[in-house]
Amino acid sequence: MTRSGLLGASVVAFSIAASAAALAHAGAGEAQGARGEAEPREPRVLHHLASDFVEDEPGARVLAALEARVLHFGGRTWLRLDASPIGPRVVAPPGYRGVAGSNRRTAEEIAAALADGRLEVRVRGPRGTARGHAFAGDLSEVLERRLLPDGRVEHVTASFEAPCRDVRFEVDLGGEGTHDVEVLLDGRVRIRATVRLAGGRARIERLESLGAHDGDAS
Amino acid sequence: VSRLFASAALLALLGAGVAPSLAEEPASAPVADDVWDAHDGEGRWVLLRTAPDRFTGPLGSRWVPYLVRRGEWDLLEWVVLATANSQAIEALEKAGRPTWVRAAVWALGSRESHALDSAALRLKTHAPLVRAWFARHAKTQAQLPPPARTFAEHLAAEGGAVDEAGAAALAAPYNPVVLLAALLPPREVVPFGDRLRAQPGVTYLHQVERALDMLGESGFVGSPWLDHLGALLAHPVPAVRRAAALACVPRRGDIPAEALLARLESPAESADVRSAALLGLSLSPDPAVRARILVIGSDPLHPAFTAAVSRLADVDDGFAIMLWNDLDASAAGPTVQAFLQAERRRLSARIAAQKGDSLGQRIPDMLALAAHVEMTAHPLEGRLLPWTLHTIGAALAAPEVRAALETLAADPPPEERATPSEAARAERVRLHARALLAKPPAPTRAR
Repeated sequence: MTRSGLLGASVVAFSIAASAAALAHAGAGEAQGARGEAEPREPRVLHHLASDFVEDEPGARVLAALEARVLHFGGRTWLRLDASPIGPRVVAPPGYRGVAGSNRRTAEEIAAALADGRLEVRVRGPRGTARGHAFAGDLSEVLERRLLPDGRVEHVTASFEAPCRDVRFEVDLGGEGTHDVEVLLDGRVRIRATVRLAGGRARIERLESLGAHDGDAS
Repeated sequence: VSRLFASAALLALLGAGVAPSLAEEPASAPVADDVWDAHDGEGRWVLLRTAPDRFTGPLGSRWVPYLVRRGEWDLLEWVVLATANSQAIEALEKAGRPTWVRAAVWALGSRESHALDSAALRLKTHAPLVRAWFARHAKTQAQLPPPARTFAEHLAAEGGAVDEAGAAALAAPYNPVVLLAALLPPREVVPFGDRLRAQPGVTYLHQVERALDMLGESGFVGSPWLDHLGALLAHPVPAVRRAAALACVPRRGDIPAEALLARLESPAESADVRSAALLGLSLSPDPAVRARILVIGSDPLHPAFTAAVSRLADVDDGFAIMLWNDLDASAAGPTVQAFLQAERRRLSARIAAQKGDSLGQRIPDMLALAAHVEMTAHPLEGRLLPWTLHTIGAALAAPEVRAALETLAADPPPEERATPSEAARAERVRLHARALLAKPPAPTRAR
């Protein structure tokens, strides 16, 4: 699985999982030079970083996974941030129905926040501040455990009134320099990423959630 | 509890955790009015219970407004007690129901952080009122679930205004003995089925399940609740035993382990109850229980095999991958075989994504399990012990791993109390930890 994710709903912070394993897992997502090469037919991944969304406490559970990519295509460079209730490090909600690797409550929170238009993304860079877009991403299949009368356990896709999706944020990064990208929920910053563009290369230097006292948007 | 307060503060900052406005009438009611009207309170609860998504998520946003529109305040209160649903708490509060504070206080015991944080935020938002309510009922505060008591202490310690007049208008805290009376059901418990109304004097299965749900959201631990769960596991009705076993899953170590093991190991027990018992045991920290689940998870013909495989993929440290690599489950049929393969992949993915800090946190349990199989000449000893030592030894370069081992290697505090077998196991763990620390760390972590 290449997705990682964000958004939970509770109060939480983001612990960043920019591990070597995650980067290795990203494979093609490592930084690549762009100069002097013919433009490809699809966006090229200049850099990739994965992260966890965790509860704001010691030994916190991972509620969702995050995956950030810097993409380049047709002279445009932008950050794509996918948040998913699915991921190998995501823990299940309490109770026997929950299956590790997906979190139904996170899925519901993402769906509700998207439906209510409570999410936004913006970037502050050398050229000032600009807004991006939040929209539904890939379909997610949240698994739930079911105990059958014959004693067998099976895993079934949880039913939702509306299709459950990841949420995707995209924001243009503009020119070279340092760009601070912020994802806001209900007007408050929940995720912050710092992207550095220099010499045709890109690097996501930071991808983090905010602690309990630094979530104020300014 | 400090987390509760920090969480509440952050939620207040974020404006998160508060459900979407209830003023927005849903596009469609979750049930036809005439169907609803034909049922009594118990029948309506069963309608709620059997809704596809129960109370959460988008369906919750349909049910709660419907209950508000129908003035079903008692049902809304039950929804809070059994699910800690934040929308239901909001509905009670917005409607000025005198029950909203006691219901929200109950939800502080929820194991679901989303629900707990939302309840804490709502109570903190009305701190003078809630502070006065706790003070007004100080004599019965011992009856409150532990998380609620701790919350009350912190709220009092904060000081500040009190709204005594407002608190006087609120309902008193629950008497848990009365509220959870269905945890002590008679021998005859029947399903509600498709009836519309409850018969007087009859105890229905959903009433027991509701009490179990309420207990799960309360934060009550230990006696007498474990005794009640143990008694339910010996109830003559299998569906009651199954419900009690499944209610143990989120309780982790706070479970009637012996009663669950009795159900799991009884050949006369129905297969679903045996599997439910295994699920109920699956978060137990007891190495003997964990070893038993590994054994069942390598026996495809055991009635609880798929339950074991499913939970091992959730919680195992990776040893089960090796067990399953060699396992031929064809005798159990193609469905079980495919399930095993899928779960092996899921466990492999989870372990591959694990980081040093995760392994560090798991080392005490890993070594305790290894020591248990070693000291009991367990059938898994020959594979589990070397696997454990190799896995930890390969990760010695991780600071979290070394820190965990150093803690385990230290001499025990003189006042440490343990049974002789626990002390012997701890000593074995200590020896393994010291031996591992004596090894040079591998240049790279290989797992």
